[in-house]
Amino acid sequence: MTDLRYPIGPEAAGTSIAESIRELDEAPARLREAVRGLDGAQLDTPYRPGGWTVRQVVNHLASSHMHGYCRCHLALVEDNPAVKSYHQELPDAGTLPVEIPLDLFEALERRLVTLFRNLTPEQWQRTYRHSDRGPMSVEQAAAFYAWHARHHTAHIASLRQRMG
Amino acid sequence: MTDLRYPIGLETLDAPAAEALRDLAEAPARFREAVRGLDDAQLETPYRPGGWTVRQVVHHMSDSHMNGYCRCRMALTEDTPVVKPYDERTWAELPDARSLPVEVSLGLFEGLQRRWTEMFRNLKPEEWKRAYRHSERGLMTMEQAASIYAWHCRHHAAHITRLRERMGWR
Repeated sequence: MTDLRYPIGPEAAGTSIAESIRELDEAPARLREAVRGLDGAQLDTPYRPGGWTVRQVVNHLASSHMHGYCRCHLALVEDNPAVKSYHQELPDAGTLPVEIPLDLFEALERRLVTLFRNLTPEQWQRTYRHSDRGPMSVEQAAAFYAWHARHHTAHIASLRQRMG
Repeated sequence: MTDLRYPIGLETLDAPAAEALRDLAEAPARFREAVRGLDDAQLETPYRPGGWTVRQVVHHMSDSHMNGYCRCRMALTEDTPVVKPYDERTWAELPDARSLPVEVSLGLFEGLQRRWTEMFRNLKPEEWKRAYRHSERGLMTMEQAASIYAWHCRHHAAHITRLRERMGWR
């Protein structure tokens, strides 16, 4: 049986920089497509039993990638800064109209992609230290967040398929 | 002589929450208004000699408030997390802050402020007292953070509107 939590499998190692950037660039449009036309009740459906609702997933992507953006910035301007893991979602994630995180996510990915396109090879190797995962280079962070966007978008897309 | 860096004076830590929320909610529209119709050369003008350009100020708002929002979220979900100052000068020199259209950060800032004000509006009285510990400034409650970031919006919006006035840009 497929694990509904990992519709595209666990995060992939070895994604190329160009591929990560392309995916991050395309992520906002994919996410918009995934929720297109869903009504309030559909947005409040958990993507799996006991899981986040579609609305929470969309809000989670915006806030999680905001953390990611801050972390990458920190890695570029500080010396191997320590950052903490971030798992929880707040009540606003359960109620906000999805248009807000969709717009936020789109603007955020545009800034991130512009930043990434301008990095030197040395900058790609700069790191932050994650409290759970240890050192992460900016290159690894880009691959992680590219996977993360596809991962959560697939939660929504696979729910739509299952629900017809 | 007025200090061009502090057009509305120094930051306030004790604005009432309702006032801070109103400022935070209105801020995106104020920034849009402040930069309305400016051309590229105007956006590339420093708001004071040696200061950031208008473009950098706008991108700084989304950077800074993203950090602020993340800090407040951490304060609500962790036990008095320690946060570090973020080096705003080097961030403002990163390539995206120098070159991207201001529209990107205006949109980002708007979505961000909507989430942030929604988060603040849902806080219980005891949650307003939750705090993060800033490595340089010490404890900062949610009330104080709301006050500071509300001031921060008005502060930077005034950099742009005062520049417009001095330059006679319409």
